[in-house]
Amino acid sequence: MNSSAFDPAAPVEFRPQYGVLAFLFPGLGHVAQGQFKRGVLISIGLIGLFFGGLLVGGIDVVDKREDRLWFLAQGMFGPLAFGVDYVHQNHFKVLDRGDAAQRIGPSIRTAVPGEVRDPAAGFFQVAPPKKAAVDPATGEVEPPPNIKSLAKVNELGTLFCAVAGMMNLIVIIDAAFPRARRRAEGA
Amino acid sequence: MILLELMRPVTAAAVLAGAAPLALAWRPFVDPINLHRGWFLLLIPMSVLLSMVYKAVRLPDLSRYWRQVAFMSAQIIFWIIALGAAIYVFIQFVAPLIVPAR
Repeated sequence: MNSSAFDPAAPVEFRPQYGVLAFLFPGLGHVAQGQFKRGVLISIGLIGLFFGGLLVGGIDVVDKREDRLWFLAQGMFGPLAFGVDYVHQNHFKVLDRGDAAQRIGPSIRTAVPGEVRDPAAGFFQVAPPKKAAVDPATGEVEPPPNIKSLAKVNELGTLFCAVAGMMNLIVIIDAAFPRARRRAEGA
Repeated sequence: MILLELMRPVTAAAVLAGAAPLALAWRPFVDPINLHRGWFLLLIPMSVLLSMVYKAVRLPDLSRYWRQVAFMSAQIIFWIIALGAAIYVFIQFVAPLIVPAR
């Protein structure tokens, strides 16, 4: 890497294939350009932010259905964000049939404590809720598929994932518009 | 001890469940971490990871990368604390002067 290769006046090229690769997996666009170290550092940073958010707030922080505006930012992380949301919606949530007498329509929601997914449903299928079983030995109730995060923990987990998505947008733009300095590094 | 505290999930769920306690074991990436007291410490990993990505994109030369990451992380942490302190002073001391309590 030679810092003298940097030329601010050099024309910026448009290479969409690297932008697409950067969207598919964080840092892949830079690795494909031959900037392996830069791509790996980007990848570690972005994956650390996104999965750090999931570690802090649980899978509840990525929710296209309930937090649509946040997901606009999180979705820029790429297919991983959409995959996590898909698993959240279809493997963790339950289908509440509502109450016609009270004019409450059906909805997909997080299971509350005391509820579990109907085990008869498939792995990627929104299942109706079922009353949780009690362990006769310990007297403990079976936990719900996931526990909803609250307050600052939810806010920070959501923010981590959203920052990962927004930073990945910068990375995608940088990968799609390589400059002279990057071509010199990759050579 | 602190680690055990972090791994214990939100206990409000157990209260909501009724008489029988929930079998609560923290499931990483599924359940939230119990960091309701030390949430502000998350500013440190967030600023470091954010700086890692930004500096990897921004620097023309990666030879002084980690120094630049450390400097930017320190800047973010310092200014967030300064912003928090400024808002605290405004709310506690300046705002009552503008709108006196009745």
